[in-house]
Amino acid sequence: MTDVRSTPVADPTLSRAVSVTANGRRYERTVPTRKTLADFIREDLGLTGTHLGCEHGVCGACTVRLDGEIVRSCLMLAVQCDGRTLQTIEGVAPGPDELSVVQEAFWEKHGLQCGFCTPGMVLTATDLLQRTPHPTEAEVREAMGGNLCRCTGYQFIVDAVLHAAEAGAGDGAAEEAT
Amino acid sequence: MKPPRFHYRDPATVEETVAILAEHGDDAKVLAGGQSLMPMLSMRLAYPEQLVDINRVAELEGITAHDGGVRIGALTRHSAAEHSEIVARACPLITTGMPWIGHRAIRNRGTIGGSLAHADPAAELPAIMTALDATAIATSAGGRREIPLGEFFEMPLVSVLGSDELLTEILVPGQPAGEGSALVELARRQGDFAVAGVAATLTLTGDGAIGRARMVAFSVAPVPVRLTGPEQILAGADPAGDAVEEAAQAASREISPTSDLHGTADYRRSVTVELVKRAVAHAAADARARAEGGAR
Amino acid sequence: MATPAFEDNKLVGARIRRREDPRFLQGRGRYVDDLRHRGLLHLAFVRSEVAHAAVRSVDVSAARAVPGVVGAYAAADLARLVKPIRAVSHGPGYQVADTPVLATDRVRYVGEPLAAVVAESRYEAEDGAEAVVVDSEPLPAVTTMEQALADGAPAIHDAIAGNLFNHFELQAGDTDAAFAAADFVYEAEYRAGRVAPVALEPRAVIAEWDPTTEELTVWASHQAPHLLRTGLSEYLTVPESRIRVISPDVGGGFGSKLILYVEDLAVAAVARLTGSPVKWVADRREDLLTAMHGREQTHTVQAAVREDGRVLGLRVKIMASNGAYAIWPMTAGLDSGQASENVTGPYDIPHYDRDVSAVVTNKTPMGPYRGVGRPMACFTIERTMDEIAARLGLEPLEVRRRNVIRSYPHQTAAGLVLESGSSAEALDDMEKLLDVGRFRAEQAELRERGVYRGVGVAAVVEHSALGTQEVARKGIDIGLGLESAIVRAEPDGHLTAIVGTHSHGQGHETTFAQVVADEFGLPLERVTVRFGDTAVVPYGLGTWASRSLVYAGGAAILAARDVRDKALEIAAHELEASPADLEMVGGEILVKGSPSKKLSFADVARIAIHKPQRLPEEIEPGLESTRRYRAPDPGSFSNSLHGVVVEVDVKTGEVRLLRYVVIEDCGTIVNPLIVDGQVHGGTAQGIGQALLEEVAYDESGQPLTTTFMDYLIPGFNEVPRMEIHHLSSPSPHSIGGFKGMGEGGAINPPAAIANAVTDALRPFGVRVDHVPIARDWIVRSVDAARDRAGAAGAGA
Repeated sequence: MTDVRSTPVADPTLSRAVSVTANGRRYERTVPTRKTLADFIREDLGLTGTHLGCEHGVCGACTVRLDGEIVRSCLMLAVQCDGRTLQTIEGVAPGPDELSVVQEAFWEKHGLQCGFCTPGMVLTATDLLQRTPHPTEAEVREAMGGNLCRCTGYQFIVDAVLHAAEAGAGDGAAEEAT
Repeated sequence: MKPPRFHYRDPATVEETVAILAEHGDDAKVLAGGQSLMPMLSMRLAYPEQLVDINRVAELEGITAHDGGVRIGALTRHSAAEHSEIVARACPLITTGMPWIGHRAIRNRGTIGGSLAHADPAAELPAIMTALDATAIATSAGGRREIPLGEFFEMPLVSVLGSDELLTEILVPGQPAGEGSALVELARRQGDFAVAGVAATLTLTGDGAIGRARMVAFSVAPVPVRLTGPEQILAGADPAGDAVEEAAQAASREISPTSDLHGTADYRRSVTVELVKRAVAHAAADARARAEGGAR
Repeated sequence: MATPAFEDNKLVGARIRRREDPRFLQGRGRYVDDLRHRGLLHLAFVRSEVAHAAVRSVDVSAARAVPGVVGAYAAADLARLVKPIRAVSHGPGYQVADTPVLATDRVRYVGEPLAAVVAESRYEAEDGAEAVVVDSEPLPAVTTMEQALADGAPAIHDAIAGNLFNHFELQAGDTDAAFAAADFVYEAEYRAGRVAPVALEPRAVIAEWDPTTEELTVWASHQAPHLLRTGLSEYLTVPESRIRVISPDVGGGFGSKLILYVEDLAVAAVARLTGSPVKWVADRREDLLTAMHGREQTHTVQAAVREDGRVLGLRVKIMASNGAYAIWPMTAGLDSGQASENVTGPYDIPHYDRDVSAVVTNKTPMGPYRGVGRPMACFTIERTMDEIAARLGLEPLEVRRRNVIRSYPHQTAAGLVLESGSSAEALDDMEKLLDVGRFRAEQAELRERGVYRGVGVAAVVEHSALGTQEVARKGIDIGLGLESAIVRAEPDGHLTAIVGTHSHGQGHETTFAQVVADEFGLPLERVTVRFGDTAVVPYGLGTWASRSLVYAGGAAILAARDVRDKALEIAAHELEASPADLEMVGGEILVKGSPSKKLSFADVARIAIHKPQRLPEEIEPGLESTRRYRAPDPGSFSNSLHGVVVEVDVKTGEVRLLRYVVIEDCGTIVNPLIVDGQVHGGTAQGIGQALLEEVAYDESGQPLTTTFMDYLIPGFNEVPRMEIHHLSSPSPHSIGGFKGMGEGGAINPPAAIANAVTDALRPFGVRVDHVPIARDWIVRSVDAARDRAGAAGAGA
């Protein structure tokens, strides 16, 4: 890891200092400007729950929230997030020994198998329920449609999201959004 | 699958941006929402020497009412347009079409200007803006010029924008009150690019006939195709009558589809007939619903 | 000592949520790419961009000058450390050709590695890879089986005559007589497109060589760590005892992470050359190009049919397009071989001739993707059943009823003995579930209005957990018919169960704990399941071929029973009772009839390990057992029946799945939640194969589906809600009555959906003879049928 303070000023078109707040913690790192946000989160922040399934914006495994909005972290550069706030899967649960309502519902309904797509699924579902606390099954499928899973056939994920909605995942959750 | 080396530039103003473009020309590439360019960089299909990130250019973002229509800053995100009340009031075709673009995470980053400048023939937004007779404003160090969307696209992934020009805003004339809108498409999966699609608006006269119809087919030619022949056939016609079939058949003659993995040229031609019919039906239903809504 | 059977199995059969889930839900899973190594280098491959070429030179020198690059290697640079892979089969007529680790003088498919570049980051490694210069001369590409087998076809391998990995013919029964007795012969040719397994986590390998101990440690996203270790040992010439393979959390496999790949060897060799840990993670393009493909087969079927719908005999010609190389250790014979063994499905068809070929083509090697050959076997017999029904004017379910196996054990024409099953019951159940009578009335009515709906079914007998002799019979050079388990009581009375299988989504941390805990009557929390590290786990063969529960479950139960028996012996000594007078209830060992005399299991464990002085001479200290298990031959046979209702839009070719019903029988179910999840996932993959997925090549052998924008796996809106119903025919000869079922769901859908679409399009006479069923094919076929039918219109 490069120490920001001791690095001589380099060409800012090639590498830059980036400061982000991720899951409530502030990080400062110097990264090559070409580094994707996904690689930055995984390698520089050590938050490896954000997964790379395709690196071209189709599978949704790298979904994170940037200033409260879900984005694909493989389709952004780390330098674009300077000064911004991230939430990754590691920041979804209320505490290390607890699960969020959405996570709990995925567990209860067997909404995961190999676990690789799961972080993106959980973040997308959380985002959906905060906007639409009580979606229909069709709305769940539409909203989750940008996340691919190869193990579950989706049914138990849909059930999990509907179950989370019943359990109140999205009720009065607007303040949790960031 | 990692981007190649480039010089990253992140100007804060349009002025700075166009200065960089003027200096580097074809060696520079503008990064807006990145939802198409980032994959191309990661797959190393694009090797810009200068990557000009315009995301800090605040003046490029925003939606305002303008002359009965809307003015949309090029950096406005799809999701902002999707949920904009100004847009919904003035240009409901945009609101109708937005959910067809990718998925929410894509629309949170993807920009209106980026989708147009990328000039993907399978994309929805170029067709929508063409149908609405929108005008693109291109800015360069030498000044601004207005480009009607109907003249904006040259060939797949190529627009008429010069290498020194930045697409800065889009002016969209308002739709007449009561005009119906529809976007219909066939994609192999929900959220994928269309194999074929049609964006349409139409007004209904007091007796239920079609007043004016505007139709654009996409993913069936190198650029979005304004279906002028079918539009003429539909003008004054019964939206449930034989003219629709005639218009749909005419549409299949105005397009020039090619074959790819997702569909053959013949298939695209044949489903365009069906999509035109669906578009007319949906837009007419929308117009009727708006008329009823307006009467309340 | 005889082991009393446990009467009250309260965990096996329970719908228990998975113990592994919290870590995945919190992003705390540890996949290979998540691991951190000091001084890690990143490797990128230079791959062939043409399907077939003579390689004149590979110049890596420019790559070495690229900033960040540490080393660049062509074939000659690795030759000292690694040998080409040689997948040997003892099957009939099998021809062997080597797979070079990095291509030397020839490349044989797009994606074949030619050079490797290591750098301080993956970004820089890719920069370096771009600087490598390959000079090659294109050769004619052989992309279809027809081309490969044509007279004068270019030989893809010098060592293989006729571009055939193998070709053999087998006869069972008296097929000539069956055809002579037939009232008619049904003939067809069926094709399945090539598909990619697409685990969402791409393949990944980290290798580290310690020059002081001469030990290699490999972290790999792999389904069978010991098998990988054996392969690494053989081709790197490093003793197995000095190789440790760790397969941590794995993001899906489906067969694609079961075999030895040249990349595994190259990464290990480069790690040895650089002295640093080296990581390679396939990007999605690499994974689509080089992770083994599956399914591409053509079947030509002739069925001898009696007027009442009985199929008397079959002649089937089976050809698989295996790509450029045979995979290790399964070889190129598996896909076509498995198809040929299973063509008769759940039907009593005693006379069966087969002609089987595995063809060399300039494509990515093909391997055992979930289902292995059987989706095409199912397609062939199930499409045949439907066409026989159509010809005879019978319901498809009725024709199946007239042919289905009704008594067990049943020996199939291919020689497999099905031990138990419920294929006949399933047909009756499906008829009710689909309400076929009512559906037909609706179907007729809707057709009048130009709405085309169809119903289709497809039945499968899933040969799971291939028995020990049976795997050997496949001709594979490495015996794959054993599994190992350790069950160990720790001093505090908690149990560790270590198995040689590997879980990558299947939930073994839960199911094996259920199985083991029940042997003791202990709660689930008392058992921890471990796997995936060859330094910890006894030699095992991993997870594939729906083998884990039967094989590792069997071994674990045997080991658990040893531990339990020994605990009773120790307790008997402590309590001064006979073991036969003891019982184990809820974690306590009681003397029957005098419940005050008891010990907890933890007390016994403590005595066994921490107080060996209290044990009698004849009892060895410790409380653990290592057992190995050979699964019963020829295997355990699950059965399933899928029923689907579709609506086909004949103007656009869209196929909507209105209902999807699955009847599944996998014997004793350990955890219904997990079984249902496996059915869902397999079925989704099968739906993908039926309607969306195909690895397409152009005529020059250039793959056209190298991104997720071109290779389409089904999403939330392409997979319908499924209705799952269970039957239960426990295996009489596997421990616990278990049968494997992991692949099953993926086998039926192409046939079921093809049958349903054909049924929907019956007014046009359009018959689906291939998958995937493309929308434009439907539109074209319906239009052509209408043209043939003339102005009147066939569908009116």
